[in-house]
Amino acid sequence: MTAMASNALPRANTESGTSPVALSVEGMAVTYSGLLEVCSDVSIDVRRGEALALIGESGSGKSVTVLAVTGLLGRGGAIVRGSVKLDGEEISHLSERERRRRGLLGKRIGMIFQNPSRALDPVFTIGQQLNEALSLTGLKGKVELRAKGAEWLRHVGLPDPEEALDCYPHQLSGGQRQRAMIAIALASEPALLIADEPTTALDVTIQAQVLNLIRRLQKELNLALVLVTHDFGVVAAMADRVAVMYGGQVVETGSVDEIIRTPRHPYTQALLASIPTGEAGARIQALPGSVPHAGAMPRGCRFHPRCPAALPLCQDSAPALQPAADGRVMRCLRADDLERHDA
Amino acid sequence: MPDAQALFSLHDVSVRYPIRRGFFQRVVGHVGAVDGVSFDLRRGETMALVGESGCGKSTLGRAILRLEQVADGTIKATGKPAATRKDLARKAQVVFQDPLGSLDPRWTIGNLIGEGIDVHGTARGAERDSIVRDLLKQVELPASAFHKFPHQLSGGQQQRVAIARALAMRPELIVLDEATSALDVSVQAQILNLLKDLQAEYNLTYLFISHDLTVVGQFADRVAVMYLGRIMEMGDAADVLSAPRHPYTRALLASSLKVDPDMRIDRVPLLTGDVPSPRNPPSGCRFRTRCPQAQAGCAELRHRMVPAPNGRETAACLANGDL
Repeated sequence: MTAMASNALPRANTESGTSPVALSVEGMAVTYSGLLEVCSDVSIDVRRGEALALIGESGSGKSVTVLAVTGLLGRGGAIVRGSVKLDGEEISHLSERERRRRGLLGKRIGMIFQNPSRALDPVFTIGQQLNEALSLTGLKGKVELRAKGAEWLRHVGLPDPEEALDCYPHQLSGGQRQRAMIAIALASEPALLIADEPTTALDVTIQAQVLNLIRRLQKELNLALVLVTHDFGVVAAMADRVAVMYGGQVVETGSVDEIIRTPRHPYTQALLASIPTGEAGARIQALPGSVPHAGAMPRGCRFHPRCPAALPLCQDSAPALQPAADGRVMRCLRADDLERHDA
Repeated sequence: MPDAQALFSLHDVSVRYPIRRGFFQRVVGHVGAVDGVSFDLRRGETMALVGESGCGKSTLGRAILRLEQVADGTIKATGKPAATRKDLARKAQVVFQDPLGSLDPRWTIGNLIGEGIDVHGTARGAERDSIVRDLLKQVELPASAFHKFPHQLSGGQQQRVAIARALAMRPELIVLDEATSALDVSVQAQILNLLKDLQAEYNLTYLFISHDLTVVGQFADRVAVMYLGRIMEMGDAADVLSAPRHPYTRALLASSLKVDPDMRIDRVPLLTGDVPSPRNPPSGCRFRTRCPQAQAGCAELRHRMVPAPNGRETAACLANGDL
């Protein structure tokens, strides 16, 4: 623990530079009913042992992105462009049956949701739900399953693991349910863990416990982690790299230090400036307006109506996500002159 | 300590919910949601109530609004005492967390904002409509919102309607019960700025119920930290948040995540366990079961507030040398 804390800064380069890419999404677009494009041009990649945070306001397309990766888009939702690769294998156009056959549901991709009471089945005990995940690894036998299940619950820090195996979800507290869900998500030993707002509904003291647990297990099991959140506090505490989303697109990516200390894209800057600093009486620099609706996206750069740095040019030409002169990756027509301006 | 400037004075206020069991729903016991809370709400200030869920902060807000019956203690208001809840509505209003849940989906925005004016008969006809249009302007909503329905507005706009609805009664106190917690940060910033402007204009008093200590530090003048129905620490917001005295305040501050990439999760000190059930709270100091500094004597400690300079009060704590 102390060793990890002392070399906290170079972590992003040392750990993630060499390990293989677990998930790679390239120019993915998602529509519902073929009409409503809720995600267009999303590109992210995550390596083993690395934590990527997807951050943005509600309606920015971050949850849809992870649902598309897991194949849980639901009725009418489809990936219409781009590719999604898990360990190099294209998975964007597989049917549900094919996904199941290849072990994509649960086995290779684990998911943790915001609301554990909705993700857990109320009529089965925690033990029964754990067994389902454990059996995906090929484990058989009542005694073996029970022993392994109790081990997982101990691993996630539930007080009485043996007793908790026989509990129904409603018999556990919110924090305990979230731990049980993490145990179930990890019991099938996935390569990729997706956590969609895993602690938004929890109190701060429980949030710290649960995030600490996720981070510890991610390191121990060398998982690739995609963390969806709207809270920069969670990003700062957990992520190695960050992808900022706006209006269904990734607008800036970088290491957690780059994004939080020296944000470059005007949207990232405005979002960070609108977070209260805790300084008494100070006025917050509010970003005016709100995220446009998927059915009424502005032409050109999607952020230009709210952007303080917008030029007339931004109304017509749509920028691409590309590296600026200094190597920072963002989607902005003024990437190069804003950089000069900052320096 | 009655304060000349106090708008509401709370003295030893307790709120209890009955526990009902069995076929006849007989009362078999009580849950103490708020236990012996005293403080003054001063005119024109923002007082924050913070704590984890179940600590009684919302219940206390509801008790001041008389939406909850007070079991023990008194809540006194200055000026003419409000005889009924309807009278109190002209003095104290509330904005809840979920705007869509508090706005009737079948009513237009104009009627929602004007409801209080209609009920109290303060204005009618064209005069009432012009008051409503003024309120729309004050909360920075377009005049076209008058004939719209709640679902046609965004979350931030809906919360502005809820604020306009509260303002319509020209209250002195507005209870903001997690009023910005469900909003995106950019929208939260807009609403907090709006609330600040309205406070300056009308000398409003806010009771700001929140779990976000950073927002509280920026928005509130004073803060009361609650745990399992009791106030653990209270005082000037800047003082309490920069130099917390009670172990619980320290733990709560340490657990809340900062927007600082050096504060990685493995450096955040963890508080173990969950909040105990309020049905069966620990004896003595209620925080002792999770307190990193707990001692044997904490189980017998009597809860009382120890005063300090600058209006600061901290619950007696053995680790702080209180007996």
